[in-house]
Formats: sequence, C-alpha cells, structure tokens
Amino acid sequence: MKHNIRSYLVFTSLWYKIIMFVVLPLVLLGIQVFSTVVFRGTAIPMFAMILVLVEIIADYWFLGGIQEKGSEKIDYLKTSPRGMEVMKSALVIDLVRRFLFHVGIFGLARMITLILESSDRAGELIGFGELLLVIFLSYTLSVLGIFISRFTSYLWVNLLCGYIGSIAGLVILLVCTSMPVPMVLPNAALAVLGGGISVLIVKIAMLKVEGSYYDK
Amino acid sequence: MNTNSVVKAVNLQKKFRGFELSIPDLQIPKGFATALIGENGAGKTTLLNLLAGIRLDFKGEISYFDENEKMSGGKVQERIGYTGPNSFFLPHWTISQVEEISGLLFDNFHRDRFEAICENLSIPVKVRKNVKDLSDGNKMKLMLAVVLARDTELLILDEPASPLDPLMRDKLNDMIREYLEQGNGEHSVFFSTHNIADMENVTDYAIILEHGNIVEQGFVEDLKEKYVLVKGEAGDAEAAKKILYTMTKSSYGFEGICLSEKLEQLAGMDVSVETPTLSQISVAVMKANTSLKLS
Repeated sequence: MKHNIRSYLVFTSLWYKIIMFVVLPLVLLGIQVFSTVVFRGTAIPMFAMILVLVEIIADYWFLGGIQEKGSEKIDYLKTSPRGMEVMKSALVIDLVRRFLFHVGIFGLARMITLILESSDRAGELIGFGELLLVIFLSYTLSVLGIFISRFTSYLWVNLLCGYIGSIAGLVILLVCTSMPVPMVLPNAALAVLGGGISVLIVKIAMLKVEGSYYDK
Repeated sequence: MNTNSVVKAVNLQKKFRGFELSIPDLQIPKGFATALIGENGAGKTTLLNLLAGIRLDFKGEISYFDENEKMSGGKVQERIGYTGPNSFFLPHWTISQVEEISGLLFDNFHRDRFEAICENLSIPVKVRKNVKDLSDGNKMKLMLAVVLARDTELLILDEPASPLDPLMRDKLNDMIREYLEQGNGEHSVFFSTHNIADMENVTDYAIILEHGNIVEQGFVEDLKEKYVLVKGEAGDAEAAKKILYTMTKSSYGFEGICLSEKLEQLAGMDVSVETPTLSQISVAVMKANTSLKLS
C-alpha cells in the first residue's frame, strides 16, 4: 500500500499537493463555517461546486492529456519493469483519494454544522441521504470531468469541464432534492455511475499506455 | 576481432505502412560503444525501441547479455538504460519529480549520483521548471542523468548528440568513455547518431542502416582498412568513377571512397590515398544505398 501511495504522490507536484491537500480543504471548511455562522444556512451545494471545479482543473497538472492520442507514450515508464504497475497504482490511488476526500470533506462540513448547532449560531443541517447525494454527485461529476478532459492536453478543456460540471452539479442537486422520490434511488444511480466511470478511467488510461507497446 | 555480444537479434522484422525493418542477424559487441548510423527513416529509432523493450510487436528473437536473457520478466530492463527522442517524461513533471519517480521505477537508481550528475551538467534543478519548459539540450541532459545514475550494463541512446551544443557533445563523449571504462568490459553503449564526426572519437563499432537493412557494419578500425579515401585529378575522374564506391567531382579534381581491394585498379592514375574518417565512410555507404536522388 505504501508503495502504491508513493506511486501516486510522485505524479503530483508540490503545488498540486499544497492546493489539493491543504488550501482546498481549508477554503471549503472556512466557507462552511462562515456560511453556518453568518447566514445560518449550509454552504454544501456551493462547496460541491467549488470542489468539482477545482478538482477537474487541477487534474491538468496531474495526468492531464494522459488519454490523448500519442501522449500515452511515456517511454520512461516503459523502460522500467515496474512502469505499468506504478502507472496503474497512481490512477487507482488517485480515484480512492478523490472519493475519500469527498466523503471526508462533506462529513467534516456536516460535523461543523452539528457542532455549531449546539451553540446559538445554529445552521441548516442537511439529512444523511442528502449528504450521500452530495458526496456521490460531486465525486461522479469530478471523475466524469477528468475522464473527458484527459483526452486532451488543453487547459481550457479542463476549465470548460470544470465549469459545466459544477453548474450541472448544482442543477442535479436541486432536481434530486425537489423530486418526490426516495433519496436512495439517485444515490444508487450515482454510485453505479461514479464507480463505472472510475473503472473506465483506469481501463482507458492503461489500454492507451499498454497499447503503445504495440501498433494500437 | 572476436568479441562477445551484449545483444543478439535473429530474424528481426518489424513492418509499418511502407516500411520494413528486416535484420537477419544483429550482434552488438560487448564492452564497446556502437554507433547506429543511417539517414532519416532508415529504421534507427524503430530498432532502438525494439531493443529497449518499449515496442513489443515484432517478429524474431532478441537476447541480452551473456546469459541470453529475454526482455520479459523485467530483470533485463533493470540492466538497460534508455533515452529516447519522443515523449519520454510527462511534460509537467519537475526535475525533482523525475528524481522521485526514478527511485520508484528502478532499484538501481542512486539519488546522490543523480544530483551529482545534474550539478555536473548544469541541469537547473533548483529552478522549479517543468520538463516541457526545459530546452531540448537540457531535456537530453536530464535523460542522460537518470540513466547514468543507475547501475546498468547497457545504454541504448537514441540521438543523444542531436540536441546538444558542441561542448556538451564533447562532454557526452567523455561520459560514454567513462561509463565504458568503469565497466571493465562489462558496460556497452549503443547509440544512434547523425553527428558522426562529433561522435567518432567514442565510436568503436559502427552499424549503418538503410531502408531497414544493415548495409555495413564493423569495428571502425576495420572499416578504415576496408575503405580508403582517394583524391585525384579531374582528368582521371571518369575512369576512376567506375572503380570508386562513391565520388564527388569538382573542376579541380575528384574525391571518393574506394574499397581497398579495388585500389590496384587505380594504378596508372595520379591519385593520393588517405585513411577516411568514419563520417566519410558512412556518407559513402549511405550514398551508395540511398533512395534519395543525388546529383
């Protein structure tokens, strides 16, 4: 496991680590505290929009263009007996990290609301079903955005996917929470979709890289 | 000269659209620097990619080192250092990421040696530049640094001299020579080059490739005995043309490469004979085999 995590970390630059692991959580949790204390509401929908937007854009500096035609020929990886293993570990750990991050950050946001609720600065507390919806939705949109944007190495594509993803997230969230259906349905659908896209991300990238050994 | 081979290939074939690499027998001598020479599109990069194990769709058999090992299994790759002209590193990697990932990819990568080589080659390690922002020369230096920081027995270098300035080419020669000396006969280098003159000092063995076929090969000293450089008066040019391997004419005279065994056929002509350089031999062999329309 340690080796797999190292494989992931070597693909991330120092700036990527600072932004994704330090700045982004602090900003998101700060927004939640501010929103709860000042507006007595939850910032979770906005929070999800920012998360989707930043994750898709930041992916440009992680594995941007990895599924693009031609760019899969990372010859240096291919000269190592462990190259493909390192690549696959990086792809898988990145997805696991994203999912855990979404669970953790939204869980923390809800906890902030719970803590502040006991004080006189109570905010709006979203239900467990809605919390799961936000987690699955933001994760699914995030991985969908990176899956699409990795087919090109243009930053503007990441930006476009990020903006569309975050707006789509808000719309889907509003639709799902206003529909008279049990929350378990959209949650199950998003879990399947998010899982499917995650599998595709690993499969397609590995097919591209391994295919470059052959005339594919 | 009887030598062992570091790489042997038998009936090597690789087909692309409109191109076929076909090498019935390839032996790269162990303990020497071997230059792969040929015009653009001759198949040099294809051959190097097959030998480095980054292309696996070919016919034939390749074996490595004394044990005749195959590429599969990974042990061979640990013993080979390869640098290539294509997308070698991810473009947004920084030099420190390249160092990190090298440690992860290879057991025999030494960080202290990498840092010393970077300093020695003035690679801007402290400037947090992405690989894509490095000059072509610095990219090549970085590739050399990662392969030389490992304990390898064979270096396969695709056009290492091309992006380098003359001073660095000289340094590259020194580095190759040092690598060979450190190995006490166990280290070998196989590199492709268009800069034959710059790399001649370090070349022990040469393989000339044209249209996917080996058209000439041998130790440089043997090739210099096999071919001679002939210079003569303009009046003898027409007669000499039938004997010489290749020839260039001017109003003052002619100059050409001749097979030593045909030298006596020039008897009676006013010619001088010199030892050719590897570059002159290579150009002559390429001229004799090229599909280019030469005047």
